[in-house]
Amino acid sequence: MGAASPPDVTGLLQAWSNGDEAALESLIPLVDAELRRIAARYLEREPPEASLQTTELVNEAYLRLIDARRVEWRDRAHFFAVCARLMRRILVDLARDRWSAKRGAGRSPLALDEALAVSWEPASDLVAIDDALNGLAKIDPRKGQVVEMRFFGGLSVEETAEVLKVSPQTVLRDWRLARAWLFKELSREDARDASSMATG
Amino acid sequence: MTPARWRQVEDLFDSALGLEAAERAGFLEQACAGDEVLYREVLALLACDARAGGFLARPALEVAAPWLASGTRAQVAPQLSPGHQVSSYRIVALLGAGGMGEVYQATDTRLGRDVALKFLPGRSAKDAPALRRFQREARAASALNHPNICTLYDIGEHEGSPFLVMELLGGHPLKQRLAAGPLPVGELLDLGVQVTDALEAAHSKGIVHRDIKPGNIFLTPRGQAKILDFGVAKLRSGRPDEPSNAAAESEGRRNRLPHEETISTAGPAMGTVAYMSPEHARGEEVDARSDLFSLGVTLYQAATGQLPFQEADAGLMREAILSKPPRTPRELNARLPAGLERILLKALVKDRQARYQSASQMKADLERLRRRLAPWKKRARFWAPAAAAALFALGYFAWPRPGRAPLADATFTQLTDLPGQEIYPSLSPDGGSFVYARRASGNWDIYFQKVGSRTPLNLTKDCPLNDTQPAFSPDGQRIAFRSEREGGGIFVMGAAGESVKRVTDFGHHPAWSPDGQEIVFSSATFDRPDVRLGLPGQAYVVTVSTGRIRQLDEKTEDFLQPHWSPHGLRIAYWGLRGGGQRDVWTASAALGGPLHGEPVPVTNDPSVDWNPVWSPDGRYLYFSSERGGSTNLWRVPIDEKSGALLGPPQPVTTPSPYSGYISFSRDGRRIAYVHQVRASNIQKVRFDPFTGKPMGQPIPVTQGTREAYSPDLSPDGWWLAFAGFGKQEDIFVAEESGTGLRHLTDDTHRDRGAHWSPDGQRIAFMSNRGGKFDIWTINPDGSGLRQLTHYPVLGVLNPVWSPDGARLLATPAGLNSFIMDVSRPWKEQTPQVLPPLAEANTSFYVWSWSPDGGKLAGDRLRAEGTVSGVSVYDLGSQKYETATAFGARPRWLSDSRRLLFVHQGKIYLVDTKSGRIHEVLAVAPHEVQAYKLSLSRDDRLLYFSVETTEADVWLMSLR
Repeated sequence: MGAASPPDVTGLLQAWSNGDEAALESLIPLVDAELRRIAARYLEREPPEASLQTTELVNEAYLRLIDARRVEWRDRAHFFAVCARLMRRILVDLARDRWSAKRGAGRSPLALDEALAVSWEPASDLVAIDDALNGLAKIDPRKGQVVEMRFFGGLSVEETAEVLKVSPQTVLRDWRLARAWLFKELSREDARDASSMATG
Repeated sequence: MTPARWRQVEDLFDSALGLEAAERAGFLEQACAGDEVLYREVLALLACDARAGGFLARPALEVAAPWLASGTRAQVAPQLSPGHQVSSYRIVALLGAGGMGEVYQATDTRLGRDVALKFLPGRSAKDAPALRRFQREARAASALNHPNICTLYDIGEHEGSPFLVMELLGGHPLKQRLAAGPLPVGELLDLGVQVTDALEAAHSKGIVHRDIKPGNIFLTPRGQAKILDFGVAKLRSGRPDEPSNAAAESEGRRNRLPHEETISTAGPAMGTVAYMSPEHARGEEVDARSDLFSLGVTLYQAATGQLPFQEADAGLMREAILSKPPRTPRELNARLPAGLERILLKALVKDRQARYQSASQMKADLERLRRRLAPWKKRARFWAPAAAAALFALGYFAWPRPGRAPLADATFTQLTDLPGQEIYPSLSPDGGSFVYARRASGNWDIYFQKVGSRTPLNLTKDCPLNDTQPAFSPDGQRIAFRSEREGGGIFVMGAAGESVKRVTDFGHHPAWSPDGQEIVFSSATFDRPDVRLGLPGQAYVVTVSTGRIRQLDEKTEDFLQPHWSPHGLRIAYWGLRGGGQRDVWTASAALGGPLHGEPVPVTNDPSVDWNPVWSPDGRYLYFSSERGGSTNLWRVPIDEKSGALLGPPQPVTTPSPYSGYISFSRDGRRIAYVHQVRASNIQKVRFDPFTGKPMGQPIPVTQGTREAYSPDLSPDGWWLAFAGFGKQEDIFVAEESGTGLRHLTDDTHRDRGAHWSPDGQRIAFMSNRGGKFDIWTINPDGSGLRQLTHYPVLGVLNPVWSPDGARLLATPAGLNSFIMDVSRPWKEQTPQVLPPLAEANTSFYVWSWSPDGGKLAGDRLRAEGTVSGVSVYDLGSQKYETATAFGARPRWLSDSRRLLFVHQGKIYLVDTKSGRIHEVLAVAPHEVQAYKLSLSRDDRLLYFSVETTEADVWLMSLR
């Protein structure tokens, strides 16, 4: 890779998805750095603009990672899925490093703001979600993929449906059950008392 | 789980979701045909589905963005990673890095509080002038202790780099606020008073700030101003009122650091030229009066949106400051009060001898003007029901506002003046009358009133249960409302209260579609926007003629107080965002169709934003927000079709200290809203445990404008701990009589729900100091702050000690209470979660542990955030018993048999054996708050909080 030419993320992704595990080692630092840059730019935007960029954040990640011209149209969905897997891996690893000491403490990443009265918050403990997702994939691999693509990959229902070659309705149904199942798993883990949490 | 089993679960789950919530359990019972495990599994998944609205709602990348980004900055400067220990501080996150150094959020591991650590920039750690400046900042700031100055806690050194430990502030700099336009006059005066008060304190200690500017004044979400960075401050002793005193001058010189002269004359780099006083610009000695000049520039900018001296470069600017007179503020903003112009110009006089001579002089002028412009503030504080009628002669008055404020010619009229709260106004389409909710006869009723008349007409007096949240239909012929009658739901009646008809059997906050065919509503409700119990709200629409209900999109994290746009294109709503922010969104909603597309955020900031309402022309979305310091009305230009914002939010300032619950007339020229003044105080009454009756009248324990609530008497009966809502939420301790009041906690975190341990050695309370609510303990002398729970994801509320003090019970929001072992660290806990109640979508929220240790009394908290009554859990038999069908916040008597509880502003007693209930105490015209009750050990003294909140309907009229 010459100093002047950008690193070939697309090529590495292709290699990785074809089973070249060594490609992953080169990929991770590249994608990691790109995600950090994107996140930083995202946060530097002044509100309320920043708040409008939720999906753009993910779109930008894909735009920067995948050279669309070089990817066949029929492969694009597949590429999204590969990217989703990669992002999951990177984000969870980072989260694990970051919060390893706090495992189970369930703290969301802290913002500058005073945390206002919080009586309910969605989970943001990526490590716990990742663990539970592995469990889900064992029972129902497709639902595991749906969550991976939608949550970690930020894909829309339609995109996910395209990758999995199922209808958007199926994705929505899968998503809803998977989400409930994961929520239940995480709650169960919270209380370490599976039976009494049944309908909490 | 076998694949076949899983398919069964999946099928049943999908089928049940297609049914009404109420039908699901019956369906499953039948479908599972005795397969108990399957039945439970699916039921549990359905319960989780109902709760999981916001779970996984944002992509992981967005969740991770803040710490991904902080990692980026790390590559620029040598940096400390989260979890890193710096003396007794543990790094939590990098907050920012810039010319002044790096700032981290950290936890003080000794005190358990969040702090900010400020380091010098990596490369200049060995740079002598920077180091000296740093030390000087430390020395100057540590001498100051004032609510409007960012507190310096400590100074330390880490691997050769010195750092400051400061108060961690939430909010944003004034500079950012001014980017959105000038401040309303009321806010400006509040700000000016706070800053002059802080300067007065600093100047009296001989400390001059030297760099007062909008970037150095921080606004917390609760409206407090904080001066930052006494960074260029110099130490000078001597009395500030006599700046030319020769002795003081020589004293000052002696204390002056050798480098100081250079700094003070170093020019633009050391202070922003635009805010510099003429003497500073000339390189002369600066003093207290120089700060007042800089504050004058700051306030001038806040009032007019422009700088008094505006030049292209620093040299010309300096010239202008030295010689040009500032433009008269009222040339730029004709609506400024003349009094404010006088204050600004007096602060900007070039000769400091002719300027304000002290911060206290300037403060006095600002306060005087504030009193003159805002007489209601004083009135609100001394509001008494008896005097209310006499004070009604309020008539009209116009509120002066800056030129860029959108509704310059508004007049304000008070429409109701009854004691207690008149809320949820809805204007008739012609603007000539309005309906609202009020609790006068024990329960909430809906009243009708003509604008200009003082005679309310009770439309729902036949119903003994609560009727609230009325909404006029677009043609003004019907009123939709929430009622508790017949099990609760949304109802519609004629405009005179006739022909009441049920539309749904659940839901809150009805709002009509513009064609009057449909009503959008939320599954959940709230009492006040900053306190949120229950589960996230979900969005529903009902067709009024058929009663057909459809659920809208699942992409909403939380859904409250919806409002349909005038052309039926979008629905605005607010809710809790991940992390606890209250924000406003709009979602696309074709009439008769589903919500589609992602909701578009309208706000995304830490201030509480709620109550969105479209203007009738669809060009603006109005909402209530505390972004300006106090809760007031705002609006933002918006594209009704796409939800895209067309500009920044603009203040629509009312003269009320707290405004919300907006309603428009059809022509958009009249806006009804609620003016609210919250107050509550703790009272006690002697109680006879044999008759279950009070003896004599209640006696006040606390008195004041702060909200004091949730009293808890120490086991020895000497002390009372309670929660206070003021500018911030803290735990207070006072003698049982109310004297000797002191802060137990004193910081910007929200602390609530104090409970003394049975040995009186510790006080447990809930606090969000760890990022979300968890249970903490503290010693009664304020030492030994410690975090007990680290519950994942959900906030944990309301600690209750076991009578032996060995265990503690607490309640994760929306789930059943759990019991933990106090002696073990959280990691080693195996909390005992109380089993589910029979009632669906209801959790058990414990308030009191019986003195014999055997029973727990708590609320049955519905997912929608309301309470259906009191239940008792027997720890021996592990069974629930229903104690009452109404009321909340139970408290055991020492016989472990009878319970006191609160219902609709009164205290009741229930005998759990016989089921007999009787009324104990009413404090009419006020109300006992539905918060914790406390009893002395012998049951002879009963403590409770009484709400004296006033809420009146006001009308804003536009010419």
